[in-house]
Amino acid sequence: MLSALGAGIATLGGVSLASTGANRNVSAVGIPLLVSGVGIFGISWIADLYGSATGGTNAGPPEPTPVSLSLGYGRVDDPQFLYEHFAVLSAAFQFGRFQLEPSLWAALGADNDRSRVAGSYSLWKTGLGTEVKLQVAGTLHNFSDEGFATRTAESSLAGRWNLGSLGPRLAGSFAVLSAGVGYESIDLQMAGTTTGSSLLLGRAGFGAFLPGGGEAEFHYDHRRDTFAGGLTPSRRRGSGFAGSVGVSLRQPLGRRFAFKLASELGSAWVVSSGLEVRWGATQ
Amino acid sequence: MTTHCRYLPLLLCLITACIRPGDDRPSMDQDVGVASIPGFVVDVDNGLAVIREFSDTHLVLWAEAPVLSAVLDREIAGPLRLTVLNCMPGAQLQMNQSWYQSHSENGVTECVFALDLAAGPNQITIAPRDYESDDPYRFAVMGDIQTALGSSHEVFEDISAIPKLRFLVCTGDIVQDGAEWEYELFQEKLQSLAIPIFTTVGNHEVRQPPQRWHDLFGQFSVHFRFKGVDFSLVDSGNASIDPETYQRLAKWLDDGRERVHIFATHFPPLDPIGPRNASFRSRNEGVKLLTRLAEGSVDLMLFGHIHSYYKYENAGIPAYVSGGGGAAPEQYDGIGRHFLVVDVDPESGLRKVARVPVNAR
Repeated sequence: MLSALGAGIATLGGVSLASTGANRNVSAVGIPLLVSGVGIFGISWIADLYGSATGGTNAGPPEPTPVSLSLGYGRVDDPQFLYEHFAVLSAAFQFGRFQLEPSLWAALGADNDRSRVAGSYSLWKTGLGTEVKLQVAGTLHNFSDEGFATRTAESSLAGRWNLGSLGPRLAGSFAVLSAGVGYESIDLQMAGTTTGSSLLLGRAGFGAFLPGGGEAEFHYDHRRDTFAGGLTPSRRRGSGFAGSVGVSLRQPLGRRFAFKLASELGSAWVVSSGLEVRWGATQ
Repeated sequence: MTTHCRYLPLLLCLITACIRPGDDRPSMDQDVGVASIPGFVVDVDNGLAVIREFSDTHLVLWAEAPVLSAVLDREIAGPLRLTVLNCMPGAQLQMNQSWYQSHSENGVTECVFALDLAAGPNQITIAPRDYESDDPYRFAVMGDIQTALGSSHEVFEDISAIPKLRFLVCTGDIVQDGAEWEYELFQEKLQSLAIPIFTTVGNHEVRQPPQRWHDLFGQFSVHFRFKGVDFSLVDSGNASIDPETYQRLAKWLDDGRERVHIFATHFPPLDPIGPRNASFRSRNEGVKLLTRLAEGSVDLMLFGHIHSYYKYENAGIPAYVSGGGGAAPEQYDGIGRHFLVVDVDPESGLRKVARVPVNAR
């Protein structure tokens, strides 16, 4: 059912793009349809694999953590830029339906830093890990080595579903889907000029809850303005459309600490890991 | 464990392909225009022509620039028949203070010179007679022929009908799949073009191993100067410019800072319609390129890939997307098949850029 829905939406998006030659007005609708349709189809496909492989698990969604701080290391393998090693700092604060997540990636040995503040408001939430929220975020990325900086403002609608509600074989898994828009202001400092560009946001992922309150997720992110950039599926074809793919893992180590690991692959390969300190967590 | 290890090279290969998908092409650029056989060495300056045939008595070049210089170093003095394909109409050859006139029976962009080489190095220059003057001139721009290759002669005929055009700059995607028959057909279609075409590659040329393009047309990224104006045609066939090519571009930008400089590549660094994102695979890299072009005082940016026409500014520099060569067009944009005519003045810079529709036939 979900596969058919995804395929239908993707077909609608694909046909609208193909029949109009990716017309400037139509593509603002066609591309989100294509990306979300492929995302839903992909989620249902992976969910089938999950159900067949595990038959469902007893693991449930992690308990919310009111306050957390994490410190870690990031590595970005991108031959286009001088940076490689980063100190990664992030935090998360939850106040009822509101959540605030500041983060900083500061390059070690290069003049590059990316600071971001994301805020969200939960529009609908169940106690079983299903949630729909409105997100806004601002990002400042200084490429001082290169003589430019980007400032991005964005807004998106994000959903996360506990797929266990669809059937016992999917128990212990979840799906994420989000879509939004943003605007990137570009300050070409060395050239003394500015420019700007709007961007489309879309993300789809599938994950599994892990014993002990952890979770692992595989995702596709359509945006191409992050460290990861956009994927080149092969040397011969497919460059310049797709975003990045990634995996992430978060596993509590007792009530106070959690371990985090993430990797993204696009035009660059990004790996990060960190230790999270938690306050107010019950597990 | 053994099974998992089997997939490790595949994974590493995937990651390498993702991160530097076009890393084979810059190194191939380095060996264009140089060849030797016993007793005879040919070296074309800056690799601006590919050597297609080479024997003791006959040399065939495909020009990638309006002006060619080369050293023909042969141990034994004697005659040489030099054919330059994709040559500037009316080009002459200067060797050892003498000028040679071209004669050809195969169209105006084929120059044939009957030379009498001295033993040892012979320095030659092939150029139109006015190549060192700084008077204004005009050239054409097009991109994205792809599946319309069969009717590409219609565009070429219309371009040829524009008076005083010196050459055609192409932003790539001259073919759909990079198949051998497509390149053969493309060269047949060029018979209807009265001026030479200087082009880089798009994402459709790189669908095949790069050797085919390399053997026929030479460098994927090329820089030349004509009548006081610099041109940099840069390979972004994988929606990215390879770091090695950035190093070459840095030198070209530095050399051309005081002159009018025109930059052309296939992918726009940023799509003028942001959400569509038909642009570089990394926005950050796209901005990096814009920064370098702005710092290098580039006067005009030319792009293809999007099958329509957009006039805009990037980092304060006039920018044009012109993908009107005939490939599946953007619909409902009121544009259609077209090319650009650019008037440029080496003294004052860019004078005019006009979009010219291709006549329906």
